[in-house]
Amino acid sequence: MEKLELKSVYKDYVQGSVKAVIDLSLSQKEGELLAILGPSGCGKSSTLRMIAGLEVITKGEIYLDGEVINWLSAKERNIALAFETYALYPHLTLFENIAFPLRIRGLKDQEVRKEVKRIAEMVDLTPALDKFPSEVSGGHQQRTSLARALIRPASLYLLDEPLSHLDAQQRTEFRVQIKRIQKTQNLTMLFVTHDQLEALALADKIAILNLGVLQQIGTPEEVYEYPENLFVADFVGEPPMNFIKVFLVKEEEDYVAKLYNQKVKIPESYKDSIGRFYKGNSTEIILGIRPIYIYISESAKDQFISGEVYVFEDIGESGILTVQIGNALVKIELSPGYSFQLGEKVNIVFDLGKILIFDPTTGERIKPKIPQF
Amino acid sequence: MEVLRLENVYKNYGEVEAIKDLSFSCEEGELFIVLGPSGAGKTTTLKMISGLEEITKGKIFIKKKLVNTLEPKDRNISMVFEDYALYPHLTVYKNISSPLEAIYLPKDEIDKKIKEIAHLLQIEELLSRLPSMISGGQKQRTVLARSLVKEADEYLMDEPIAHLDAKLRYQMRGEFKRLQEIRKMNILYVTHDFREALSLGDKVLILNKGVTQQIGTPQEIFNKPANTFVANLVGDPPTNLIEGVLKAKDGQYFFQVGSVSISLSQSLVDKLLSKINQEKLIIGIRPFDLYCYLDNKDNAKILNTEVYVSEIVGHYNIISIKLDDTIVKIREDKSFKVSMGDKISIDFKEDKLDFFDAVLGNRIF
Repeated sequence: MEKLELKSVYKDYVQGSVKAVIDLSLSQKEGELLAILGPSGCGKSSTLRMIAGLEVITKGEIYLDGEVINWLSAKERNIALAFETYALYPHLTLFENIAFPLRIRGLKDQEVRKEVKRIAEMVDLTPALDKFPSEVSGGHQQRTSLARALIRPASLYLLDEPLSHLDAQQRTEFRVQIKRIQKTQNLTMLFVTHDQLEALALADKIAILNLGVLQQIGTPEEVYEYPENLFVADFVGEPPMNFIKVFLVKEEEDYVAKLYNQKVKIPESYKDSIGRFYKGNSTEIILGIRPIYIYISESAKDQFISGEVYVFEDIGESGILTVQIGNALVKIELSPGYSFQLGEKVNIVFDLGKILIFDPTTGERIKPKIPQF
Repeated sequence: MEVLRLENVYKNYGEVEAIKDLSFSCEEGELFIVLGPSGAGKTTTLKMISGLEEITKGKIFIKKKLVNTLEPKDRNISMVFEDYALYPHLTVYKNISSPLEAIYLPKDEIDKKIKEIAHLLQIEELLSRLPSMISGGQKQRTVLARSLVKEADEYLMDEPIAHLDAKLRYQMRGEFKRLQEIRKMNILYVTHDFREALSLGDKVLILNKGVTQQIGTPQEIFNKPANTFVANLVGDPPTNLIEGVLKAKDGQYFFQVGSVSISLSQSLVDKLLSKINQEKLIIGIRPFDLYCYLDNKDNAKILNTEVYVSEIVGHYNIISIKLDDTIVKIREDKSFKVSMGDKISIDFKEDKLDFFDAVLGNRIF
């Protein structure tokens, strides 16, 4: 069932001179964890605030549980918020901060205690409940804010950069907790983040925004393996994807990408789409390939490309090799144990099944005939 | 040849001991890293070396000369800070040339030096532009160029690429490493990012709360962490640290974590018991040294456990399990698919284990 639905939503500021969100349509199913991902200024916070009712919608409709909620105040929407800027009450203990939404509803003290205990257990806050916000770490504060949102039943839980104030280790720990809670309680949760790793790790679905426009909505696998355009391909994944500008050449019936006098065969499945795109031997395309899908050639039978070691970085759990081919630099992620010298000649192999092709003018991905998913 | 040496250096701010008994030395052509979390004392260390902060106790030598009482300008070092500032009204060229003009170098010599450094840092085409016309990464290169263009015994760098976005940081890290391999400069480089430390450093010093935790090559730091702090700081996800006790039962040997038993070989347990006089200890193991199997694999060392959370992050599936109250992470390929609650068993090679004292956290072996 659709829990949340946005239909052609717009948000303008300053009498239309700033278009923060443009024609945004998306939907979220019950029990789904949706991430809205994008760089600063992409419109993700405006979107969240419109859903929450903290911001008026310029145009379009927002549905929650099948009802239009455009004109409902934030209080009237059955939505719980854990906002980055949603400060905790400094004069209340963590316990009372969490209990607050229940207290204002006039719940009996005994019930409040039971509920706070249950939620605190869930977010690992039990030992700190008697402390004041100023006495605990940023991580505990963020947990408290989440607990306060989770304590009452709601149709939808909105989280604004829930992990932003935590150090790297707390972040991975808390990420695990949020996912556990969301899945075991079957909550419908929407969070915004600028951190693509966070979105990949946590979400069931990711909506990627740039300059107010939806670029792609899909599962983490879809946006990672099959990005719709260059923006998504570039924004998602670490180390970042390699983009290599090459000329497309037709050799008899095959299309090949020419990379400084070397050739990469374009897979058969692209024949139709690339054929339509091909406009003679000066046609340019952009090859996209993730560093993890390039290998060091181990056999003379491989269709390899030769280059020189530009630099090699051993970072313990992996090795990052940068290879220079003509003027292009290509990064390769290797398993531990490799070692290279500057300038050394290397032969590398692209996993042809993982190559992506983009139109350099529009940035859109040119897709193969056999769908990759 | 030794370029820089610190001998038993202390820094107190009133009651607060920011740096305690810090000693290390940097050789000619070496890139020396100081790695630590915020509050470790990294920037304080740089400031003491540059002369911007007085030292409370100890000695600092530059090229064997005691510099404790020398003014910053007399120490012959060059410093790059994280929050860089370029003169907005000057071109990239003029920004880079400013330190050379300040020492009245002849124009043609300045020009030669700038062309050389601009070539190395690939900003030749930008020299006539104003800072407002170049990107963040190009600004960072300009700042580096300005710092590197002048002769110095040691270049001090405080998180020089930390505030760049992730993509640019990857790129700049590689560029910087290449530059250093070609130029072999004397650099002391401060960072909180273990990847920068391992990638760039010839040697790495790990600092926590003003106290040195370990000094070693990147390989030593990664493969033989001196204590649990280092093990935890280096790696993503960090090394799993599992506290438990050694147990023997019916001729079998275990590491007992609450109700969970991890099988160990007798020879390993004997070796451990010969080095410590208690049964309690901490095992460290990296997420990529653990292997997951669906159901119970014969002789797997951890049996009957279940998936607490599985997170597909790009190419990897980061699987969390719970051993009693300890969350342990395993890095598998993303093609290994599991769901919350699935029964799995875990295996590892014993030689990949690190052992730490349960109280002090120091490495046993």
